[in-house]
Amino acid sequence: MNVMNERPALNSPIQPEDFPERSPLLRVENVHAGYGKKEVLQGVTLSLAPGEIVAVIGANGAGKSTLLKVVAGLIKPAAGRVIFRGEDITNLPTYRRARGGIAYLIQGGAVFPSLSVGDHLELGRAAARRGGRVSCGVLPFPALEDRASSAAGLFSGGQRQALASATILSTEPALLLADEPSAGLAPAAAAELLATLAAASRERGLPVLWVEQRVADVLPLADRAVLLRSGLVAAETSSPGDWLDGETLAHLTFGRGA
Amino acid sequence: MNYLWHILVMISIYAILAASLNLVTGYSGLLSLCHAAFYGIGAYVTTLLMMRAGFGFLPAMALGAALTALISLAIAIPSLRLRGDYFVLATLGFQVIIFGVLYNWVSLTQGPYGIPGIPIPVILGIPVDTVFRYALLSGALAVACLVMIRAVARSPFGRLLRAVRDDEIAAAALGKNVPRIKITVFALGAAFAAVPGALFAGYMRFIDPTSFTLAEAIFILSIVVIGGAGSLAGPVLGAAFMVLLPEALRFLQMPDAVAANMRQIIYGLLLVVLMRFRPQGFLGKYGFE
Repeated sequence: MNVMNERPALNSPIQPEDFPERSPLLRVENVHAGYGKKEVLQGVTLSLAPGEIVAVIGANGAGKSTLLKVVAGLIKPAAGRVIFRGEDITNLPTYRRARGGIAYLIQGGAVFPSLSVGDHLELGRAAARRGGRVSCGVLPFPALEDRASSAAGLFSGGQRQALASATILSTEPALLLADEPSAGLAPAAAAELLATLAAASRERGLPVLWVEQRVADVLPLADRAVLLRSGLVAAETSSPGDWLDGETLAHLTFGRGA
Repeated sequence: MNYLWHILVMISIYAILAASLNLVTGYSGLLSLCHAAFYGIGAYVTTLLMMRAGFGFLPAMALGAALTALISLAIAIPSLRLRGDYFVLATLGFQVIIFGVLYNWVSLTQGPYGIPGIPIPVILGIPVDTVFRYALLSGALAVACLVMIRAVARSPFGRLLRAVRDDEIAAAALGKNVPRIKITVFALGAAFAAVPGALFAGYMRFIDPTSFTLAEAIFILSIVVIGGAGSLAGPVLGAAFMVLLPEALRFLQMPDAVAANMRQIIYGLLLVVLMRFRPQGFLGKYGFE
């Protein structure tokens, strides 16, 4: 698909080499978090460099979504810290993090059913302005063509998820937390959405912490992959393609021999 | 003829009440059961300012609106952090408390005896002393309030309200301070509810706490639901329907012995049937979930 090539260099992509002392953009330090008494994350530590796309994979209940919620500020960790751009944001509420450039793409892509596509993008642009950023307002998603004035409540699943992604991108975030943006979509539509989202992120130099069940679709798009098991980082790789082979993956995910 | 003007006054009062609650419940999704409390606070504050401090009707009404908004913060700030059902219960509690205060603070409100002899409103030197004039005054205030409420609903703030109603987490993820937005709209709705309170007091020239009960709060909420939550014209149509329906039932030929009860039953039945076949109300696009 054709992803905008002629975008002006308003904010040129941030590359890892711009940060010679390799300070990570995001650092999650020894985070313990859960729901009530149930501790889902049992000491997770990971870092994300500027411009890096990191896939987070793991079995159901391994703590992938919980990890994103902690970074987004929806769950307060019982212990540990979240550091963004060198600042401890562990106690900031979600909206303050969003204004600071942390965009959270909710599982399955949440939209506002009574608002039009135009309203969504207006909200996104307002969020960008509020954070002192300029939104380019480009809609790279083919599913949204010619739907600018329709209410999102009338959309198909694929259109909703594309709209949720487009809205998040229009806030010109500094970090994207994507929680299974393709959940519930047919395989072809899911693959297309993921590829578009990855291409748009690459083009902006936008780092992504990407939770995804569709491992075979997301690993080839990522720079690095992290595997969670029982609330802990069980494995990491800088060549995510190596994990594509099914036996390796089953072994990593469930911790048993193939 | 006075009968028709009387109905117009009542429709105006309920149209403002419903439109102001619609900002809170329809656009923002906050189900509130204390709108009659704000209506009552508006009526009492306006009355007391006119009778004890010598204020004119319009300045007393404006101050009453401001004070009602301020008092609404007392419920909004602690309870808007609660989720859905708990918030509804908190507003219910607030409604009961305000009724209790109006009923028991005898030195201020004269409690169950009510306040008689409320002065006739004088607007630009003209006493509003006939039902026709009162219909003009309340109609004009209703139009002014509805225009303002429509401006809010269509503004970027109105878009935020719908976003918060549709998905709070997604709104927060877009950098929106959801609790502050809710508190603001709640206070705004309360301020607008004070206007019909003032109108009611000046029209009846007598107020007592029984006009501002939980039943009244539920009645206002039914107008919103029947007219169509989240639509601009819905509250007006809903108010007209709910005020006119009992009047229309008067004209049915029924034996005197059962007439009053039959009217109540038909009234209730029509509401049930309406909700069964048109749950989103006359003009609403979205039903309650």
